[in-house]
Amino acid sequence: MPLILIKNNMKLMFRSKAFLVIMIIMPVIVIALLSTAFKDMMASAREIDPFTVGYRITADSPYQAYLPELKEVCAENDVNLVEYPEGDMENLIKNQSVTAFVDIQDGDYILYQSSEKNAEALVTESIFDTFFYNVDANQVLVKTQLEQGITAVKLIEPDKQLVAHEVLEVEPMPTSTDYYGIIYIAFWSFCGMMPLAAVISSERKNAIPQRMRVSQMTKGQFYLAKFIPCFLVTFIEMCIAWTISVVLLDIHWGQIAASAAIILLATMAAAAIGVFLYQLFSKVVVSIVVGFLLTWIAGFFGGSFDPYIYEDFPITLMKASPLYYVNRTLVEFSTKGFSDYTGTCLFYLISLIIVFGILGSVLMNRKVEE
Amino acid sequence: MEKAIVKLEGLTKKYDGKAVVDHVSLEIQKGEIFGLLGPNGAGKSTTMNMICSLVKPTSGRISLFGKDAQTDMREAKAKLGYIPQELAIHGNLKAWENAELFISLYGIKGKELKKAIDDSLEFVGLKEKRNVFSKNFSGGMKRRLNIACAIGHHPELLIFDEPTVGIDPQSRNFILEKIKYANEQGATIIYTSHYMEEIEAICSRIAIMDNGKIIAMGTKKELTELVTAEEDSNMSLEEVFLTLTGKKLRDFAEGEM
Repeated sequence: MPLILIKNNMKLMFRSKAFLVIMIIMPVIVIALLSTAFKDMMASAREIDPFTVGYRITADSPYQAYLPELKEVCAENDVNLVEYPEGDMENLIKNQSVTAFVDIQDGDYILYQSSEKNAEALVTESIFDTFFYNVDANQVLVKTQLEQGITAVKLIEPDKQLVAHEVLEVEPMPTSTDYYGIIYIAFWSFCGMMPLAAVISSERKNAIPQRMRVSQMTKGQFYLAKFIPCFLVTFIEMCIAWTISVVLLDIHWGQIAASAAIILLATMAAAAIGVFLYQLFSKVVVSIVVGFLLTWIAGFFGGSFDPYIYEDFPITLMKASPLYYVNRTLVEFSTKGFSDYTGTCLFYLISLIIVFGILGSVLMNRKVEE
Repeated sequence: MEKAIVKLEGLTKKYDGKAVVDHVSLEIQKGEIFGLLGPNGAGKSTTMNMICSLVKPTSGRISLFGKDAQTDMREAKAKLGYIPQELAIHGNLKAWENAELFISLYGIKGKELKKAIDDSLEFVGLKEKRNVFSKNFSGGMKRRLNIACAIGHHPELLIFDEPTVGIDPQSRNFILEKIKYANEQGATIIYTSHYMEEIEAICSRIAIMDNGKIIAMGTKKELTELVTAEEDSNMSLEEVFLTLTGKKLRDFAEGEM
């Protein structure tokens, strides 16, 4: 193992200030910007805190008699129903005295809400709809039985639910900060070929490859001396960016050890692809552009620029992207503590390391032969 | 009986069917400082690169230390030090780090490596500057560091490909003195340069190449005798060289060599 060469190549990478900024500072900035920008979009499925709904009811409304029961139902759903016989309902909502307002009239009701409280308004609407449906149904039932001369009138049992409310197991949503905090560390891990540019450009600017080829280094050592420092430096940089983003932005990762292992594998895959591209193209800048383009495309389909659960891309394209599995696995580690995608993610990353590792070393050997 | 460290037999390299090195045969004995002279495009660097296994010959045979270099080069590499014409050092590494990196490529480790770093930096007069980044060095210091990186493993054969290009006379003189010293310590030297006075000053034997062929080879006295019948001729090596290769300009586009 060419340990001293690996150590010095790592020094070269860490001494490149431009790449340090790109690999450590930029992801933190992007995470902070995007998580703030998309906060509202990601907030639609959040838990709803208890809230107050104001109401007003006309004196001769047939629903007057049912108000105590309605308040009970609301309380069961963490909704505090408060009567406001006077006052401007718009002001009540604007000054946040109430989250929504229901104007109960003779035969119907009107629900007022603010545009920012869609979820609370939907809950309110659901409670009122279900309740008044039951009331109306009972009224019709009583009327029909009386018309038929039935004296022992039967009502719909209050405990019997006409509409069952089942809570289904759905994918829990991360906050925008957690989501972008995780996927951009994954995305930058895939940009792991960048630090190696500091070594490759320094070598090519000078006659270092010739000098190395005159030495006793084997072809395998040539490869490892590029691959190992590349992924180690990227992984260390990602750990620093990860730590900074967690401290500054309070990002919640799940399964820290497993997440770190996946990030490590992602940096290894990126390093294998990077070494391959640096051998494929004689110009460092071309290799970086092609590498970044490939990463960007993988990120585009893999959910790095929008939450993947909202994407309309064909599922085949999404599933072709390794970043899709990395993102899903890491995000689900955060939200659920486990992920069904872990196996596929590992398979994908290990396959990339092996395939591009072989291609890169073959290409490197061929260059040495030339 | 003298032992040939380097033996070339009918060495030929062709690019696109054109021979840039054409059936070159020579022997370099242990302890020699062997100069390789030639105009631009004569095939000197290609010959050097073939000796170092950087370029595969089209035909012919290279023996290094008595072994076939095309099949058994690994052992020979341990005894070989190559100082390329271009600087082969990392600007973002300190002097000692550069030396450490390149000396370690020969399997030297631990205390032995530390001593080799110290010795090689001292040899080129850069021990005091060991902690300076090489990008901050002057041209002459970079050339000296370039040499330090190639001698740390104590090679028996040192190949210098124009090591004094673009440096001040003091640095040039220092390098030439060190080459002579290395030779006195037992190293065999192959040296190419455009500076005739350098070749004349340090080389015990000289080969003149032109159009891929060796057109003359011998001591300076023997080469002089090839172009003049005068026994006590004061002809310089440059005059001998120009007489043998002609005064016509040699312009080669990139890729022709």
